[in-house]
Amino acid sequence: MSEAPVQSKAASVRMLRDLAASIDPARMRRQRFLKTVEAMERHDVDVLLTLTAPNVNYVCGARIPLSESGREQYVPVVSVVVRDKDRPPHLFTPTPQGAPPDLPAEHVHPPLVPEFAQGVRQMVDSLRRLVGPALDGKVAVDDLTAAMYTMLPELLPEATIVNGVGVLQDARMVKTEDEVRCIRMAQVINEGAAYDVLEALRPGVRESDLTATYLRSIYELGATGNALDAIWQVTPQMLRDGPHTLNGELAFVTVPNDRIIRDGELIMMDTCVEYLGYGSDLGRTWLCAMRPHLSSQQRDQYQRWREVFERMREEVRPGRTALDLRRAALHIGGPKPWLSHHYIGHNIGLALAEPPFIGTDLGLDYEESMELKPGMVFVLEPCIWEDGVGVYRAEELLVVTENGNEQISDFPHGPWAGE
Amino acid sequence: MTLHGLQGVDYEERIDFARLRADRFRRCLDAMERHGLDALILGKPWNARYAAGFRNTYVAGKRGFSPTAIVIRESREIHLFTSNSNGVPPTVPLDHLHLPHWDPANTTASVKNVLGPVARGRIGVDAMSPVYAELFKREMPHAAFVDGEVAMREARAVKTHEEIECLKISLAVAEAGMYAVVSSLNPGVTERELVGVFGEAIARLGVTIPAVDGTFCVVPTSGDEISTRQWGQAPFRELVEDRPLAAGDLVALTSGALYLGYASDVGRTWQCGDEGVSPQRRDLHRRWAEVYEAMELACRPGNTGADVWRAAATVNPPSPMPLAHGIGLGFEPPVIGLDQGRELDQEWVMQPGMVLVLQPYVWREGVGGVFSKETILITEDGCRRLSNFPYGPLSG
Repeated sequence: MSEAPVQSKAASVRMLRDLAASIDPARMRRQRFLKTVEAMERHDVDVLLTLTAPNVNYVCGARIPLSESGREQYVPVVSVVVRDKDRPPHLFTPTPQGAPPDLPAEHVHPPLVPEFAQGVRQMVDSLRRLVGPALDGKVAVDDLTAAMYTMLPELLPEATIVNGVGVLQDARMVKTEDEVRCIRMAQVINEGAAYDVLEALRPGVRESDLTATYLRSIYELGATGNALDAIWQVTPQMLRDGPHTLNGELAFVTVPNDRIIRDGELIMMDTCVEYLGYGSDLGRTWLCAMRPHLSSQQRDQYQRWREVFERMREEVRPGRTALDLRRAALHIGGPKPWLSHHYIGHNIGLALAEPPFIGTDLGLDYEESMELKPGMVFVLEPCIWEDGVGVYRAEELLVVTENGNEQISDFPHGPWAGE
Repeated sequence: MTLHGLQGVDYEERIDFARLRADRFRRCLDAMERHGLDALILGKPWNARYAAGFRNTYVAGKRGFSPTAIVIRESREIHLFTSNSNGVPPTVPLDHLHLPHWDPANTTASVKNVLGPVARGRIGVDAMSPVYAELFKREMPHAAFVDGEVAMREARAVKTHEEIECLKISLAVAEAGMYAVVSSLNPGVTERELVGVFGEAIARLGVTIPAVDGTFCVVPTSGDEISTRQWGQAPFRELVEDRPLAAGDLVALTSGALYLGYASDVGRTWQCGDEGVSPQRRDLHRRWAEVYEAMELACRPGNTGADVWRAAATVNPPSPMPLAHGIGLGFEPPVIGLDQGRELDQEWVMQPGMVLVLQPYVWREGVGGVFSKETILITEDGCRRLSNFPYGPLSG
């Protein structure tokens, strides 16, 4: 099988203009808020308090600059929703510029500081003022600072604190049309930048040099953030050469560094950019060589990858479950086509990896309970590895449609696919 | 000020990383002792880096709580949840690595197993989630789970010698990124492109993670110019857009690098293009420098965050950003000058070895604003500036 390289950075740029114009952020915010309140109804939750940026973005559309975790911990963005479609959420933010224009001014407040005991008391006072007696009901939170964890039972003795992560996972799982377009934007930006990186990839460059090219390129193409320290993992030929692993499988992910890439090395790359909070996920295996040559065993690895992926793709349709996808992947027989500490599939949205997860220790019952619905966006990432031979790992994004699926990712597989 | 290079060399001692890890671990154990903690369960990546030297895959933003490192005080053991030894320092034996799980119930069983008899003791957690709160309580009913973040904050507040060397390198890397940005500050370049210029420049030095998706934004010259509400505070734009810069635009430039986890936060306000700078803008910069110097004078052992805040209290309209914050492994407390943090400002007492970023914002209707930053180290008798970047056109 051969795939013609129909894509290029220039083609990505052309696509981006139309895609960006097709996104209606106001409609997206309205639909997500309604879905949040509906999920609160299903979970019988009175108040939903969120302290993590993706959930706050989902609930009310507020954005803050992506940063290392400390900044978000000590000056977090926080939102609170009551179970009423007519009452807009309240937002506490260090970045008023990122508050959505449709949120009434009296619903936007200076930031809270719940990492500190005084901050938790102030937070409870503020919430009491804003949501009233609902705070004595069922309160779902998506995150607890250590101070909240130890103090909330005393400060809210009447309330029942429940898991808000589940409520929002439920709301967020099926994407609206605008959300899918945001993911598509992020993916096209990511792929556009990956063409630049491929051009820079040659023996003698450092992993960090590839990141330099990548960072320059994603922002030229319109990324609103870089979500992951880009991975260009040089894969050890033999397991014994690599980091020690606890399960005797290939080490993945390893952290990027300033190591010089040498001729003939296999690079497992994995990158994620952000567009309006939505992630992309581009994973490929690259061969860095002056004269690229793949052994017949390495070509077989790609064929095996292709077969696993195609089997899985056929099952990506409404009514199937995550378990059906696991079974499709295992249909090929032989060693499990993914690394067992990882997964073979997950969803993507405001988080880089969202449920449902496929192939993890969450178990078969969990996977069977996860039914595919139109609007879910899957990342499928079989990984075919054999000690001494090499690896082929690649990721593809599929959105579930009414009667099947549509592939969002469109990046070539290089010499493996005979290109 | 001496500054080490980034490579390892044999002809001189640069940063002693074994000492960096040992000093941090000792400070962590001391804090555990003061707070009566038998064990710490750490989920925050910077706390795990501090206590255990563990470098995890970097993902931007705050993640939900999941146990990453466990420290047991009496046996001085460190345990990590990771599937391989990459990113694990040599001080952690391989049999102290444990496979991470996706199912929190399996992770809880693993945590309980690692803790052994300590699971009946006083255990600090640095964060929590509703799911783990329930599982921990159910599976370890005899443990007393308490706030362990307080102890970690205390341990991290005063920097060791090696930490200060890392912070200096991080600053130098971010300043290099900023030089690339000011050389690209020509009419037509977009705010967003400058984020890429900064990222590319630091990655060329081998440092692949910006501490924040930086602010390279045109400063509003009028309160009506930006649609967001600022609670009577000075208007500021922090999120970049696809906005091309025009000659004469006043641009707030701030970003930072993460060198081995140590963050930098560099900020300057620059004018785009070659036009002369107006006297009003020079005045604004002078006013910024005056406020900054007053804040710097307030930074000495024994003073509190409230002293720093008072030094800048004459600024009107007030800044929507914190006036100052701590820096170390990432952004750290104190966060000085927030409306909700007055009490905290008072409680935060300066000691030698603390590192602060001072960042007043001075804005005037019709003129614009100056948002620049300096990083200072509290010394025995005052403070010392660690940052070193010119003020550019505004300073004349």
